[in-house]
Amino acid sequence: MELSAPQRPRAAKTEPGRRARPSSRGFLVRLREQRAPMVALAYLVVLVVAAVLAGPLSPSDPLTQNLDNVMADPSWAHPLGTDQLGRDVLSRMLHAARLSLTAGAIAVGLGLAAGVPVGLVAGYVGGWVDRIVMFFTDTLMGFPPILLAIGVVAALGPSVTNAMIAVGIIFIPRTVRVTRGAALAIRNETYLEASRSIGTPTGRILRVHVLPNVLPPIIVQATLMIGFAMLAEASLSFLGLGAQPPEASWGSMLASAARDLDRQPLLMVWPGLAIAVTVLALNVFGDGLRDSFGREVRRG
Amino acid sequence: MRTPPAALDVPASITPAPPAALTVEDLSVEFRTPAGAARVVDGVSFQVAPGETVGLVGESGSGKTVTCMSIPRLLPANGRIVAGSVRLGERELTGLSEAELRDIRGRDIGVVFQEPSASLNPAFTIGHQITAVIRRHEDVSRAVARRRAVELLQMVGIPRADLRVDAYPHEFSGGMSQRAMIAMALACSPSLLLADEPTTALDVTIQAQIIELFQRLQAELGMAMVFVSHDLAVVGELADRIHVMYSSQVVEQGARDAVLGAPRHPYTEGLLAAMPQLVDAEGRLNVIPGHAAPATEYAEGCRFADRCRYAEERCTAAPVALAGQGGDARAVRCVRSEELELRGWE
Amino acid sequence: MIWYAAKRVALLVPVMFTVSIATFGLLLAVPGDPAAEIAGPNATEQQIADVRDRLGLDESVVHQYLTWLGGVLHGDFGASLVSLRPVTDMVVERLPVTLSLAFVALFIGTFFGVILGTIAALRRGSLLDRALTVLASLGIATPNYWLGLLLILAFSLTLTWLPSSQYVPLGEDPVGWAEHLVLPGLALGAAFVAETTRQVRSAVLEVKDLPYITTARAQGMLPRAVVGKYIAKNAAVPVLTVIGLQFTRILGGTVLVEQIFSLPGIGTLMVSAVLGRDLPVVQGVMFGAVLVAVVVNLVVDLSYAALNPKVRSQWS
Repeated sequence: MELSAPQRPRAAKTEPGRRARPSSRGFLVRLREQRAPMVALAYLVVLVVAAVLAGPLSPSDPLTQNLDNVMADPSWAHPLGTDQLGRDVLSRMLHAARLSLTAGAIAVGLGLAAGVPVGLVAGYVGGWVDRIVMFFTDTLMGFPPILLAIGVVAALGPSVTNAMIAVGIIFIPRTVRVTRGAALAIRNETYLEASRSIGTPTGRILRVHVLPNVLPPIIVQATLMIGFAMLAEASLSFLGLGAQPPEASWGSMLASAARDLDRQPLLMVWPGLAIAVTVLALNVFGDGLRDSFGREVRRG
Repeated sequence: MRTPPAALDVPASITPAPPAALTVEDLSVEFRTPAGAARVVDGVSFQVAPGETVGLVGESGSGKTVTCMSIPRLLPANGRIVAGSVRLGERELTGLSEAELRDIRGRDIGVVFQEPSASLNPAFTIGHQITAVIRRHEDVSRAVARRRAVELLQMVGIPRADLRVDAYPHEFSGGMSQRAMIAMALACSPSLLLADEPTTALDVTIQAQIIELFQRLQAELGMAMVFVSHDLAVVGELADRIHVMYSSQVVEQGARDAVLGAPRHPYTEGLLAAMPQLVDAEGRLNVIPGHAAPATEYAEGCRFADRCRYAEERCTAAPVALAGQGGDARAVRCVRSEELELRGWE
Repeated sequence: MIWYAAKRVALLVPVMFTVSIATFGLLLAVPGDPAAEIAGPNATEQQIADVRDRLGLDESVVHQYLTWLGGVLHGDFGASLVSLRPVTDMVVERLPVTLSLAFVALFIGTFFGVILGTIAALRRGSLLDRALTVLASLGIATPNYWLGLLLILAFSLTLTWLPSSQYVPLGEDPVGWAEHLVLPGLALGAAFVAETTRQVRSAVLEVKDLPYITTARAQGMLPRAVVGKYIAKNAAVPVLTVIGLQFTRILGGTVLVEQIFSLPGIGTLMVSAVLGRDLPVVQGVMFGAVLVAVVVNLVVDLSYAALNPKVRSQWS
């Protein structure tokens, strides 16, 4: 076609399906080099450790009431003050951290457990299976997330467990989409064709070949979803539909703080700040993960 | 027999030549890069008269496109013209403000880009885009502009122009899109047309058609044209004069037949020999070995020396100047040029 | 274009059908004996029987569903178990409040999001761009009810500039209407501003260096035309999609923000219904909300097709 030799190099566009297996060494190096995600990761690690060690770290028992010392300002004995029932806020915050983090993680776990297999099958098999799955997924995504969660809790009854189930359900469509997209992209890779041609059963192909290659985008999504799961759980608890008293979740702490906003505004600062910063850290870290995976992960 | 005194004979030196449509003098352009300032165009000069076509040829990275784009100053944010002058007719362009240049672009200078499918806005019809250019520079009604648009499309050979004017770019084939682009570039009858690799992204047969179109348009409209390409064969069809560029410098220039038939620079010879029609006796393509250095690492002496089969000590010793050789603006940048016998085309 | 629209509208039917099944199915998800669960732990035998009767739980599931669906198609969502009023009436009287709030949030979000996102994209890499990006990330992570509380603290309690609760109908007093909706609108809209800014920035960035924008520059087009028309029309498409998606989230967010600001909207209705296990109301609100969300997304998709001719040809 061309009449002369030196051909202008075209910029390489990201072609779907053209992906190398992620080189772990390159990936970790790239991840480490980004400052913001590393800072976020550090915060998250500290938070998780604090949550796990909530018991030993708390200056007081989070459930002990002291009606002589309600809504006190921060002091040495109570670094974050006390709440309406005289309970130490710092201790409650630590225990709430444990609850909120666990709830978020479990909710996402549920979403993955249900969504990944469905997405794999839909993306890999394609055809009418795919169309049906996508129809239901798109329909489910039409529900305003919080409303869906609230509806589920309305049916099941208010409790942290039910809140986790409800939030998990919210994430199923998202997970299906991402997994399906990734599976779809590599469906026609030659090594899969090779595997098919020697008669490997589909289930095995999905488990052994497809799944490892679609992991990067799933991991990125999962990290980002934990943040939203925590927001959702906090919202449910805020409305009284999640953590029930005397359990503490950051959301329920916000709810009680809201009632006495005029008397002790500080009470609402701590839990809200904790939620915002944690979700921000999760988002930043998730973005960092996505950028480190580089070409191997398609956007979104 | 006495010849009457030729009172009207005026010595040529007194009659001023008509002003060239475009005069580029000693143009140098630098890019700011993390690796330092890169001079991607170094002391380039040429002139284009109305109705004439000058071809800028070279491989990618030679600076030919940047040279062309500096004329209307369509440079990226990190690029600057650091020296030289660009004159459109009598008017100096390098000192003009961005606002003044915006008036000139589209009206006095038309540009045709490489990939027509990417260079046309997918969200607007062809007609809309052409009339937008017309109405930007001229105070005419929408109806008048639309009629002009249809005429322009007809002029570039698009069938059923009256229908096509309302079509979207994605409904056009590659060749048609390029014709439409050309129509857009000529909408306000500019005195200068810049074409940056307009045929590179097209099929061979379409290429031939577009080249023919350029020839016809230039004959009809008489605009000056600068044609940039890495493809010598294409340039050979259109250009009256050719400037061969390598690593930001002009290494050879002259009339088309001279440059193609009797090249004086080893790089030009290499380009001519590398064309796929010219395989050697064993059926191998003659490729110029190696590749050009990046703009931040240009050599002191001759920049082609490391790839040149005729290179000697004295080639790399000092910077090589562009030296004129005979009339018709013939010049070469090579110390050994006089002594070398180089093979040309045909 | 008409064909495309008709096809998309026709798709609504199976979607809403599925939604109706899902919404109705909530009733089935109630553990144990639905009537007893709903009536609550302190209910008498009679009250439980009442609930069972009113919900028609004695019939077969299919029968119950068809009865409910039949009612829905007539606009009748049953009656509240708590107030005994028709659900439809309760929803309709609160609709203006929620819609006003959503509209204000949407407006704030789109307006500021587009402006900030465009500025950030055109000044990419500058301090302003980086600051905006950080702010956007923060905006997405912040719970809207917390932001609402902060706003109340700042502007109502401390500065007493704006009211912190109650709603004033637009017809009665436009200024009051606006005053009461500023803080809630900001709280609800903040996350939307953040997300829109991000999306607009990314969309403009993608388009602004594309070849056809260079062509426009080469034709001497004025910058405001380049940005306002050429970039905008091409960047609008992904932005519109985001707006559609965000609308769904905003609808959900009204639930929380209305609580904080004591606005008598559908959100507060939903919350009290859930706490009171008032299932018919929950079902009614959910169905209605999803219907609104789906319709809005459809409108967004149609304008997507209007702006981007390529989509239409793919469908026909």
